[in-house]
Amino acid sequence: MTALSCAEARSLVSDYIDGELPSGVARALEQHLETCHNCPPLYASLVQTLADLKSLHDARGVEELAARVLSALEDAPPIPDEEER
Amino acid sequence: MHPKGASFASNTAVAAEASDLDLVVAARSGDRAAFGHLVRRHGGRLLSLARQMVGPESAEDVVQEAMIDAFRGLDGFSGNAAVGTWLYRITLNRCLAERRRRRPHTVDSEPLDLLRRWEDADYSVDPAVVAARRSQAETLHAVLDLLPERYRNALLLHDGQGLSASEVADALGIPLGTAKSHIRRSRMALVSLLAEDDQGLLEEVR
Repeated sequence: MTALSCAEARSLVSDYIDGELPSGVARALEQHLETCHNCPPLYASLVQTLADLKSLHDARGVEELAARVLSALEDAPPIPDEEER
Repeated sequence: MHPKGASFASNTAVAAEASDLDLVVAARSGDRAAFGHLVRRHGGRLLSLARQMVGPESAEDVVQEAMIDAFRGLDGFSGNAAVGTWLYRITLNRCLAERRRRRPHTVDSEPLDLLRRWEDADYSVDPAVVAARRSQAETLHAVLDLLPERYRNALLLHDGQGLSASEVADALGIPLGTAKSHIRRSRMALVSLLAEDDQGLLEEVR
């Protein structure tokens, strides 16, 4: 694989992060990142930003949700199908 | 197993061991407690989805509405997908509808100028600036809101929720190649937006 241009390297970075590049292409990208001045900060920013997106995960409040749903179902008018049964 | 005529209401230990399908069958016959157990089992993932998609303020309302949709649609559950996937899809649809309701006139323009920067070998960003802006949750949410909806949705499902690209494609009803392209462009645009304080640039992608 010949050396990558910055534009080529940047178009591959997203797939690289997802581990979807063939190994030869991944190696070429790694070599580019080792020698390039401008691409590594973009790569680092992408990786760190995606890690922060993962940390947005917030699954609290399940019990409260179940209570709210059950209470809403109690208050709700019957489902049309139920009336026919 | 769910004994005929019994309710899961009084027996949470039995409900905890019941399969999702057992709970669906029971809920279909009017056992609301069984449905409550399904909500408990899958609700965390649904709340996480809604908090990212519509924001923490309205997430609980949106998930509640989605669960009422699901309860009313129990007869339509075909069993082709897992129960969790079915509930997730209903919640996602509610989230997308809420986004459309809030921003009915959004022009989903292409942030081409932003993405073209990445083709310029001289373009780079300062990771410290990106990190500083990202660390303010409000800024991160505001910047995510600047992304075109289709990019934002694909990005949050993939990188916020951990769905694979093919699951994202499935959930949004778009081809896999399109989902991958949305994810890639969205990531790049997000970093560029975080790197800028330039309000003009932020307006540019609106």
